[in-house]
Amino acid sequence: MDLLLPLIVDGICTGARYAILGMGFALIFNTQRMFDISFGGVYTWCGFALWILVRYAGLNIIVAGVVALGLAFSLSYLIQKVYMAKMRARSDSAVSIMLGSMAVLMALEAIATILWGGGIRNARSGDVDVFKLGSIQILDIKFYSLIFAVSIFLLFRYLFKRTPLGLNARAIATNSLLSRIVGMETEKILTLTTCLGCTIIALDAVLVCADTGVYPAIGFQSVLIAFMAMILGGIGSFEGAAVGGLMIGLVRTVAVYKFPTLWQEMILFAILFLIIAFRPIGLFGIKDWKSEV
Amino acid sequence: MDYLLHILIIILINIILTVSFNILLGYTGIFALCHAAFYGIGAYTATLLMKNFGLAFFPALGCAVGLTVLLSLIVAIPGLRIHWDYMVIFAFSFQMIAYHVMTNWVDLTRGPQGIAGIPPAAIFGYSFDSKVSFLLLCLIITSGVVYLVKRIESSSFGLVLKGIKDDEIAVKSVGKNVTAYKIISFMIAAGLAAVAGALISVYISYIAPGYFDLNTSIFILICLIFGGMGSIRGVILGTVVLTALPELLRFIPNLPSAILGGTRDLIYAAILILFMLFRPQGIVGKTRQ
Repeated sequence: MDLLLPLIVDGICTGARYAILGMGFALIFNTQRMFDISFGGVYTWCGFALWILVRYAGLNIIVAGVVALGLAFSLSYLIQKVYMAKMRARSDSAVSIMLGSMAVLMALEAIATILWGGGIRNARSGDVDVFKLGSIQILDIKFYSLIFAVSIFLLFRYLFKRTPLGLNARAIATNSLLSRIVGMETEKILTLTTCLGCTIIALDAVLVCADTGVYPAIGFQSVLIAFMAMILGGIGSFEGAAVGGLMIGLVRTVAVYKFPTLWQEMILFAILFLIIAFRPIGLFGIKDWKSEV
Repeated sequence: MDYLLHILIIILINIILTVSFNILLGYTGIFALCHAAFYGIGAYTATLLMKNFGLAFFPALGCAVGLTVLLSLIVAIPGLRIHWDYMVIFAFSFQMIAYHVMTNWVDLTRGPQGIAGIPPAAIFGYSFDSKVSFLLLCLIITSGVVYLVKRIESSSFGLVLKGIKDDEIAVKSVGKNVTAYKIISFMIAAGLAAVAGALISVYISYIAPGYFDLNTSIFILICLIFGGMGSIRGVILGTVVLTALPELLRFIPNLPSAILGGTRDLIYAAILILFMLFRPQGIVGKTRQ
């Protein structure tokens, strides 16, 4: 019992990070209705950017985090403008978009490996604070990820329900052809929401780099988690992705209580596998989301 | 010379993989990124049967194909009934599960250490332990596989598969059971991948989970895109070029292995980026759409 409670608290904090990934991916997917996974490359590069800014440029970690996020936004904008927009214009096949974005992800990870090697890079060492909540201890960075996740969740609810950008994005998701007919600049809005999604996902890279560290292949890990969160929560549902991420974090951490740590990741994939086999619309999914597009 | 033979053997084994994956992606249009999982299941089954039960190569090969075909149903039956987007992730999670089982089920697979000392292939007392004889064996098996796939392509069965890719509803409307066709093509592809798995295990006489991870699945996919989906000639060309190309990197002196791996991945990624943008039908493929 005295082991389970800290595990649950840790699980919620990990889940908060995964929820950030899920929400970012949901923002990208809900507008594009395509699996654009180039954000994984942005993730890797944002993590390494933070490491370089802190370790070599000697910036304060908060300033460095903001700069790294700015760089992540610019990088994702570059990817969208130079490559993905052309891909989208060229074909509306979901396979092509997914393969094209996967190629971008692979290229960015490969360049990161060549430039910085395959090792784990951490932006902080030693100077960590610990919060105490009764008998439970929480690392400061884990606590912050919880706060970030909650604020992003609230911000997104506002964005989607109230702002013109959010409403336009939803319109494009529902019927992109009609949106174009009534004069929306669909490509512009699509690029903007995608870059925003990438930046939110990159926020998780900043958190990870300040916590356990980043390595080139971590971008692909983020893609896997984002996929899992979104499928578990239900494709097309933004709140679902957040809840899905939270649940994955909980399962992953609490599973250690019963299973050997080696099988942690395997359990996640098994859950994903079973969900798709038996309840493909996820927990809060929109039924037949494909038919409404 | 030995090195050249080695590359030729690897190319032949890879051709089995890519040509069988072509049945899935090139003909039927099923995007299932888990081919390396079947490759691995075949390799591990054959190896364990040969090492633990003393089976000869060809019976072990047969059992490996049988088991892989059965296991492929786990993916095919639920996966092919649901929407395309889910199938991608479904197959993908199967690939990851298979990899984690190979890595973590240490009692059976010896985990990341891998299994060494696999006996060479033998038939009627003749052992294929020299590179030349094994090359001949691979040549015979690979030609058999390519011939089989060619026959499938031109048969009425193959035409239905291609029809499913172009217009699934039209195929359904003429009374074909689309799901059954998809499942059968999945089984054939998985079985052929197991053949490649059995061959690689007796050739290197050592297997480890790292050979059968997602990167291998992605490599097979890139060969298809490079050569041209749906065209056997294109796929074989793609496999030959992409297997041989990274070998050239080995001739650069003093290249650290991290940079070597990174450069190889970068070459593959660049090929994928450029082909997806400028020539999605591949080098040999016909223009569609």
